[in-house]
Amino acid sequence: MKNRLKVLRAERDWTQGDLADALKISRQSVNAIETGRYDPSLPLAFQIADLFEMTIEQVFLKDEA
Amino acid sequence: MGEMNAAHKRYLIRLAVVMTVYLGSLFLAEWLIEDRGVTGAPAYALASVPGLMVAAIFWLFSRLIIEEQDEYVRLIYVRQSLIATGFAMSLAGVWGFLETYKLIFHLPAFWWPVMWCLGLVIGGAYHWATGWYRGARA
Repeated sequence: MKNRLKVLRAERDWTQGDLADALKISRQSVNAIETGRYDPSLPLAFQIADLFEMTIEQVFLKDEA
Repeated sequence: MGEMNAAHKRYLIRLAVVMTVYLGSLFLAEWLIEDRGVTGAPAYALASVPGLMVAAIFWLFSRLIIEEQDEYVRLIYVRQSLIATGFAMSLAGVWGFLETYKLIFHLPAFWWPVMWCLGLVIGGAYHWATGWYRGARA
């Protein structure tokens, strides 16, 4: 699943560490989600979307078939 | 490897306690059973303690998985334990048949949990090498 995490983070001038601290997760988790290596659970996806004051669909993009 | 959180700290403290009891009980069993000839119920009790400490290793790794709050790190621990189980059980299976047909020497059963722990190290190294820990502080 693709996501706009890196762009959203850059727009706010946040480092991966800043985002990890805000979400109370590890930096490797942020890196794994950002690079698409790991798809977060629904609760974590909601938490990320809430942090950016967006909907999940605005942060995470459906893979095209 | 990754950032050390509360669950990982508890794991290391428990591991230190278990390893201390393991080494102490092993020393006592060697001394009292092998050298001093203790037999019967005390010998059974004494000889069981190192094995129970091996069982505690599985318990404390399970606790690490349960208590880890970071879902991605938890996934890595689960994958590591799957690699460890596959590695140790596969080795035990192959070794067992080779031993049955007397093609190889007898290996005491307590080596298989040791192989499981080695499998954890292999699993950790695999995840490190394939970039699963990318982004972690060195």
